[in-house]
Amino acid sequence: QRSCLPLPFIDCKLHFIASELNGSAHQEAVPEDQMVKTRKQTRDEEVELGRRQVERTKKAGQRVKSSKDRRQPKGEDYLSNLPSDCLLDVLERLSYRDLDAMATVSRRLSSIAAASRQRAPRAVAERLTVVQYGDRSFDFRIFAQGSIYTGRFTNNNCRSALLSRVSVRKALPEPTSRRNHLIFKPQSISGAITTRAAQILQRFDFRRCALEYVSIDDNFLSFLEEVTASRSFITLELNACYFDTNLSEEGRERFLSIIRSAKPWKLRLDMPYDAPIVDENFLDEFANSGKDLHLHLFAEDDESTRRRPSTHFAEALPNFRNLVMLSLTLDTNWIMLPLFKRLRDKQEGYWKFRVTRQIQISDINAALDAIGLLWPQADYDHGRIMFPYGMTSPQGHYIRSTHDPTEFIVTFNTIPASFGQWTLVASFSN
Amino acid sequence: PNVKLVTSDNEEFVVDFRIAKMSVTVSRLMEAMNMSETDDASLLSNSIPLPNVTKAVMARVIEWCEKHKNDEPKEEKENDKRGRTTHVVSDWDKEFLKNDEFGRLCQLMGAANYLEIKGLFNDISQTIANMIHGKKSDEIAEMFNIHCDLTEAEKKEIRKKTAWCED
Repeated sequence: QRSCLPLPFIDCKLHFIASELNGSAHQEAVPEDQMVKTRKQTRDEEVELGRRQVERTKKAGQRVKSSKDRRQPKGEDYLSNLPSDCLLDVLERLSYRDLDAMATVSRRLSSIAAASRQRAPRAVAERLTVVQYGDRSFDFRIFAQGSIYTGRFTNNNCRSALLSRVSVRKALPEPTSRRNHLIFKPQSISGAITTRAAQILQRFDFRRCALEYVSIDDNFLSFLEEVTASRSFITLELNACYFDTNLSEEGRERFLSIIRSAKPWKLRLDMPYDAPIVDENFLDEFANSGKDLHLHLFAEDDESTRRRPSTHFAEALPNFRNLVMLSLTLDTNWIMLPLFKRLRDKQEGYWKFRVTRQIQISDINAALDAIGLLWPQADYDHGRIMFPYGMTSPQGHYIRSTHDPTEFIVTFNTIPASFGQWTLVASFSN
Repeated sequence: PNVKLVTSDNEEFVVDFRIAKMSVTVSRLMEAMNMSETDDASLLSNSIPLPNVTKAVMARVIEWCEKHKNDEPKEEKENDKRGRTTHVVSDWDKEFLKNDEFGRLCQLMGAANYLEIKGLFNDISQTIANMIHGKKSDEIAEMFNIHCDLTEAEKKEIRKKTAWCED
């Protein structure tokens, strides 16, 4: 069996062992001069080997350096050498995402990119919703270009301040149920959160802004000022929000300033309690701020909170497309003319407020005379005034009145009916 | 009537009065030198020195002005769907600017800025912005030969500041 082993291999191995064991014997066998030569040769070889290793290391080093070189600029940097105003003009044409990239290219470009952010075009977002959860955190939802961006700012901690992008389908349902509404204790939002929120939200231009379940105090107003800075909204909604008792007089003024600068066409204040900022002066100002306005104020309604605005407000009444405010009492004499003008001009809209007395046929006649329209037919039947009147056909306009002599809640609904007719539907209730 | 423009390398360009007027800077200089379209003598006797523009760049500027001398003043900016502010660069301008190396493009931009030729300046500015748009930081640095003088710690801090969405 042994003869079957690969002998040369064994031999070789044995030889190696023997040479190790008998090394001295081998040395003795070599002449001295030859041995010196051999040592010299070995030293030379070692030196050569070392030299080669050094060279190899150097080359390796050069290789590493050359890979760095690839990242180093090869040619001239013309872009950075442009004058600052030229660079600013270029960068102002870029999106926020591009500016993020530019910010880490070089120190100079970083500072110019920071300056360009002020004028960088914002992405259009349909809606921003700020929802307060508990007394510690605020959730953001930004509805933009088919996506919803969500983020949560925990009070005094903006670690979780990055937004997450989720598809519309995966988005969490909106907390719209008013039944579950809870009023929370006053907030204290840190400056860090305000700054961080502004940094993130500055990328968007919001059409609509909705605040939900928010307790509004001076700290929240600082935050809101950052969010709404240099933006105008179509709609500003405060749903189930609450003006905190700690809100200072100055805070109320600041809130009004926010509304003034945001210039919403539609202002919806759905408050569980009264909104003291919406006083007669505010109503006057808002009524004269534009056309086609919407004002909804749902709040606690009692005699002490009634607003009785001046005739100045009555003159601006046609500016409202929708006006729903049960704590608003208007003189019946003021409303007839704008109401019929609206019908004549075919303006759709819905008004609901209180009036000082019920409307009589004489009021209607006077208003029609004043705007130069004829009254084709009128009928009075058991407290219900029927007056078929239309711009194109005498159909479907009636006012139903109760006999209660005190203030009424009146609703006027001007709507397009069939065949190009416009209808005014009015109803009264106590 | 023609106007004489003299570049930094003492090259004289004789251009139409309308073309000269396209530059706000030249226009102001002509006013200062009492040169008017109706006064041929003043135009012939004077030349406008342009020390910040070289011959080669001036030739390109004049070529652009020749093409656009009859243009109506157009709207400067438009917003696209992504919210990016854009200036629409016409096909002719794209072709015109494509022929220039980036270094020459920057020189041309500098000249347009100095001469205050808004249309040309906007075209070049938008062309450069389009080159940058959508690129990552290292791609921009490589494309424009920019040496990054920010430390890794500074970059990290900037990224932290500008981060806004976890994709």
